[in-house]
Amino acid sequence: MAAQIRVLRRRIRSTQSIKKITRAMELIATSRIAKARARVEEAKPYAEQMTATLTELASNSALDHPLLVERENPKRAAVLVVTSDRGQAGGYNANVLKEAEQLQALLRDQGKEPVLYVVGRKGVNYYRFRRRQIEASWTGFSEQPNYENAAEVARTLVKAFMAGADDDRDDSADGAGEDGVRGVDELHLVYTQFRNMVTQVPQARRMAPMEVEYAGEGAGVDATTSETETGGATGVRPGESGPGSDDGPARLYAFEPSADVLFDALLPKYVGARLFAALLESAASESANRQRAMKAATDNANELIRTLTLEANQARQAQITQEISEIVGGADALVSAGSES
Amino acid sequence: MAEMTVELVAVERRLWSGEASFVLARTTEGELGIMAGHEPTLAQLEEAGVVRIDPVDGAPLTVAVHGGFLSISPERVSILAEFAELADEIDVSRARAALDRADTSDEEGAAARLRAEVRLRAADSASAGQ
Repeated sequence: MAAQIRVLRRRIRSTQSIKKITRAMELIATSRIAKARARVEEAKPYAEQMTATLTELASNSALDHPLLVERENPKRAAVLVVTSDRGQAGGYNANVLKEAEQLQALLRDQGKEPVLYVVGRKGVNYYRFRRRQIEASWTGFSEQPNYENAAEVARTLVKAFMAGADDDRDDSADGAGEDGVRGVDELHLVYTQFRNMVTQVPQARRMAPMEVEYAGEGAGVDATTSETETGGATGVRPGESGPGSDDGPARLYAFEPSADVLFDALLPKYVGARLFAALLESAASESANRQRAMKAATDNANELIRTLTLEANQARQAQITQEISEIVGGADALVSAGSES
Repeated sequence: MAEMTVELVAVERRLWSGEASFVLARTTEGELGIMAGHEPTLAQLEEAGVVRIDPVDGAPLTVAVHGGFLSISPERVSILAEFAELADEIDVSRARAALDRADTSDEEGAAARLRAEVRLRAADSASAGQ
């Protein structure tokens, strides 16, 4: 009996210390969401200006940049999966990875070979455990990404994409093309979109070949989104309609250097900026998921403590009752023994 | 003097925006001075360069800009940068240390050196102008 109480008390104590940890993690996550959301907001002006500039350029440039042109026979498709470095974030990683699996299945159905690029330790572990080949991975910044990280990822991806341009043209055995590097023909991105505090949705997007949409078409923020949903309908291709059709005649711009050179320089930066936005949203989503998961854990710990305390008290009372009845029984036995003698 | 709206936007945040009378920047083609009513222009800035903005009120701003673009319309100038730092936010001793540390043998080191150099240049010209 006494042993049972001791065990219960020990469980209560350990649950209490777990609760302290989950509570602290919840508070940290809460403050991180606010910060991450502020950073998403702060990054917006750049993306908007970038889109506006690209829109102006699109109408003046040849639009034959490799990042814009659909490859005739896409064979390999890069899939960048954005996961978190740490767990304890509820379904966050599972959801992203599930979406990534679906995308890969879709790509395989289309006869393309998915090539994995992974951000975040959890994703790396997931694929390594399943012995899937990871082309490149980056870890250590999932919660607080900065532009340097995004730029590095973007450089690698754009490089692989450019290297893919001449693949399968000649008869080399591995189909690597003249540069000897086996590149990719498409870039896809799987990240978690932060809709609001309670809704974060895993999204698969195609980053390249990309469609530049005009800021004047569609409404507000959506117009800055250049990727189409993977497998979805294609967006408006530049050149198909006049720029800024909503706000009067287009301005005639001068270019330094020429429009084509500018376009070439801007597009990779545009990929970087888009990637950065995705990383920031994923970071906000991660924190939101973690906050929710940790809040649930804290609530569960409270509930567990309550039940255990109840049980412990019952056991204590039962013990006291038993002791009393033992004493009474003993006294009775003594009394009856005395009356007999 | 005529005014124009100037926006200085880095990837991570908007650094400065306001009314200004003059902007001086270096594009890949050469130096460019911009006043209100300038011909609409899109330009690529030097990989790492110094941009000067003369606000309508207040002292001139000097900014170290990396990987920047310039978009000009008659009443508006936007400077887009991968990284940008206002001269008075630049830590001169740290930039100098970064300059000494930078290993120019590889690509990354050379880029770091360039960044440090332009930060020092921005800080220098800011202090010289005052």
